Amino acid sequence: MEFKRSFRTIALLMMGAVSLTACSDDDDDEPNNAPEEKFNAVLVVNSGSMGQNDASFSVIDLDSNKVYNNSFFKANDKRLGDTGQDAVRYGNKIYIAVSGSNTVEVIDGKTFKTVKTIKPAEGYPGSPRDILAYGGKIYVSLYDGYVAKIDTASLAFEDTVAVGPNPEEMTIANDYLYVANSDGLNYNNGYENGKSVSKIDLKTFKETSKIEVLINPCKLASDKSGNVFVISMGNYGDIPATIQKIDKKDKVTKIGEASLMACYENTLYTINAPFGATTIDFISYNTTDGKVAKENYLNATAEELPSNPCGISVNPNDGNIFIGSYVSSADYTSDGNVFEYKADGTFKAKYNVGVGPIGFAY
Amino acid sequence: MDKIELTSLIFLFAAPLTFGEPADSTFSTNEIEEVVVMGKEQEKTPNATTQTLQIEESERRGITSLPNAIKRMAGADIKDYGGIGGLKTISVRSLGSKHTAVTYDGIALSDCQSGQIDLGRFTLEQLSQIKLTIGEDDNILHTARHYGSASVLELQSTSPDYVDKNYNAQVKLKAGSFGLVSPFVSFDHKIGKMNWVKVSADFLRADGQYPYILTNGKLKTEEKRKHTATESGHAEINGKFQLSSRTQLSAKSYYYASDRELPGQVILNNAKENKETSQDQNFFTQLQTRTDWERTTLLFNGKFNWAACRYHDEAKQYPNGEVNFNYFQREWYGNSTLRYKANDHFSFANAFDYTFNSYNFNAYNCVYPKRHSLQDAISAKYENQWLASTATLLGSFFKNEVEIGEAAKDQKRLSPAWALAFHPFPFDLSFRASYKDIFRMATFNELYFNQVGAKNLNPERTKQYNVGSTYQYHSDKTIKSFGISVDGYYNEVKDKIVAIPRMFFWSFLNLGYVEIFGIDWMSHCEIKTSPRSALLLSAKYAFQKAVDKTDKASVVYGDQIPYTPLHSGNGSLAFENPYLNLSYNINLVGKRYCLPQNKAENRIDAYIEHGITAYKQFKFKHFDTKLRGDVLNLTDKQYEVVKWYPMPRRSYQASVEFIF
Repeated sequence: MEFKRSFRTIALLMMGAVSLTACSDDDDDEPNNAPEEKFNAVLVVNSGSMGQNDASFSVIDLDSNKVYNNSFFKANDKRLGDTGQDAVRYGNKIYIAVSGSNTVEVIDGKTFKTVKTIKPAEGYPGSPRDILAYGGKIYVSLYDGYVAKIDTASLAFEDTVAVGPNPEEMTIANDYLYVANSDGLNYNNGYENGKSVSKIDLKTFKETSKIEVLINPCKLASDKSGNVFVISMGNYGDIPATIQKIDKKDKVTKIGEASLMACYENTLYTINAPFGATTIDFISYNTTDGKVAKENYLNATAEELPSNPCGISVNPNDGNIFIGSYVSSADYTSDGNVFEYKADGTFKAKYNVGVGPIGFAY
Repeated sequence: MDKIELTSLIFLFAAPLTFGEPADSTFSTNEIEEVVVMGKEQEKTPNATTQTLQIEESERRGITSLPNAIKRMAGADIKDYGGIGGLKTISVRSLGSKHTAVTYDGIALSDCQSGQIDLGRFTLEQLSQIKLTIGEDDNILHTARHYGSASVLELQSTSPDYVDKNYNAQVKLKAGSFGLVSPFVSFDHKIGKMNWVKVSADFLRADGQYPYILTNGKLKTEEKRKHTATESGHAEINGKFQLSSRTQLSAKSYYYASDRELPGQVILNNAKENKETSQDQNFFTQLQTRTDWERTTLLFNGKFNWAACRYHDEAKQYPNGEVNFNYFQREWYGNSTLRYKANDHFSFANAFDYTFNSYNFNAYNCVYPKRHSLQDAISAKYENQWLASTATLLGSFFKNEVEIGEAAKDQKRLSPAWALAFHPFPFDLSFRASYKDIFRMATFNELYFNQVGAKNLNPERTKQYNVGSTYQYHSDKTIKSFGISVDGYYNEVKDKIVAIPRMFFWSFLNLGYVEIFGIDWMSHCEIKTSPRSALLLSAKYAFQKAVDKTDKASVVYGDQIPYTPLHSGNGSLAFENPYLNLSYNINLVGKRYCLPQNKAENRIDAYIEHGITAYKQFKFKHFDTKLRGDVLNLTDKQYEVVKWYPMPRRSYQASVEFIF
């Protein structure tokens, strides 16, 4: 009896000590989600930190410059998952590739509520990386070595084609789907199988050729007239990240060094931020002749420039340039920023988004 | 009736804290044993922030493992990746595991690859006591490496007593939830008058597949931890020999092997079973001599250490569907320490250590790093009846070499430390203050992990300032003993080594600056409830404000560093009686963040874990027999220590032990 009473005393005192600490002082953003009726907006996929299940989805309202972070969580009351990669808006839905969680999250384009979480069946290749829409289908590259086709009516995998190893970005040009075969996990053997871009015939969904490029190709972009650009990341050491142009005859020419790029009409915007470099280059090229268009396409002060860019995209509606960035050159785990520039390179706005804004959709 | 009021009073007085250990054990900061070598000198002086915990206390405090024991010490935290085979490392006062040296019978354990020691590898059965010293030690008979870290955790193995026979034998079997079976055997024999040899071995197997609740927003699902099987074993041979009337020799050889499936972190929407496995081996052999003359003591220590890790993972995205890494590391170590007691008040010591480390693994970017370390520590100590002070100056020189390419730069440093303690009153109240300026070298992983490299890394530097006080009371009355110990400290970490991911690689920079302000509070109390029964209380409370002060413009400036609760504490209450002894323990940890930014997505919720232990010791035939049963996490609480590594909910353990 005596024992019990003192036991309770301790337990209560100790619980008291902890409940005092339970109130929240987290630095969170406001609770509202983006309004349903919209939209002149850019959708941002924040990759999160690998293994931390903190991929998220932000909506930037371009009319009010207002940002709605954690839009997926706010709409669904659950997390998006681990390592978000890319998103595409098609019809009235948004498709988000989440590679660590191995899902393609299909959400409603207005409410952001999950319509379906597409997942490869157990034992099937997975790990979605890049995603795009074309001709009523969604195409997604799977890091396990495939490109998969998703039917937009059934929201299920319809077909796959083997590429790889470790395919990264894709682009569509000349009625072909191009995909970069990085061999990115084969660093122990110098990415020896990652020297090609696969060309897939969209009518047959078969690989028709492999175009030889420099090692570790990851990024792909193309213009409307069918010029394709690929960035081979090299080995993050003595072989630098290099942009190559692939013409309609699959001829490959080296045009410069860069680690990120985006295409708009006849301009290729690039960012070169190699690891350890103190300066970041923003060079644009003419997509037709592959020549430098501007040595610096951004017209901005130091505060208006990203310190650690991880994604670039151009709004197809007005040519405004969006650059996603980690918050600083040494912080890869805190909430990052998106910088918006007008087509002429002048700074428009800086938005606070989630961790690692790498994917954009409009 | 009186007793109740008295205990309540003490609780109120001491709340919201802590009750240390029974006085005859440990919490006492007043008794020091020189565990460096085998001698058990009792020195009666006030001392630095040193705590000792006798392993024989483990039942009455409900301690179930070495990490669990360490958690009970003021200033110490355990980072636990969950489950039986999961990595468990110590962190002292928010400095991180790489700033605590772990020694086994006086010689440092090492892992030059990762810089941290997995404390899950040690079983309580092999140990007699653990001791934690934060900052400057007031005992100056140590190796130089002992002074080379911000804090030292000393593990001491059991050594036998011979009363009426010239051998001892012990057999123990432990079993528990999730397929845990763990036998332990030991046998020792006296040789001649003063010498003995002891062999001991333990083995552990577990399936480890425990259920857990996964919370994703408002969605809660019942899941099961998979790919968690563990087998591990460890054997030791120890001996102690009196070489002459002045010289003792101790020898130890140790072998550990484990084969573990790693469950990995929980990935949302992805129930796919993790395929990682790790097979680890560690062998070391060490020799120590101690020679005592009238005023002079001379120590020699020597050690060879070898460790191997074979890591395997399978996934479709890997080349040929798998990756295999084999890591090897070796260490040669030698020390000599000379201590001279000039008179009753002054003593001086010099310790000189040489360490050679080498490391390699089977990948193209392995550069075969090697490191020569020379360390010399000069210490002086003054003591009288009411005051003691020690000062140490450690000089360190590190030479880095590689077989391929360019080596990391060499480092040299001078590190001062100082401690003062006094007890001016006739009763047992003492005060202390200490300062230590020390660093940790970058590990081989940090310097050479990939070809991007971080070869220009400087050591991570720490400064520790501490003031504290201890009060102790002993009597033959109802309150047999009572004690409180409080320390306030300020630490700073400069050039903190920060990991930066770059695509598939990591690199490291000397970037962070952290300021830590903390309070450690320990208390204990033993109350006689009847002639044959007693209540024993002990508890600790820690306040740690550890904030990032790297860059004012940064979004994490002023945020609490990851995995550091502002408030934490634990306590135990034992009722000892002639029938069945019972103890209850509680562990409370406030909210923490898994990443530097203190936002809701990164928060790890606060938790309270309770445990109950029942134990009894009796004669069965002519054996001493011990029975023990534990309920761990009594309230079935789902919590995490490391984010996305859920901990087990309620589980059970039972053991039986015979001593021949």
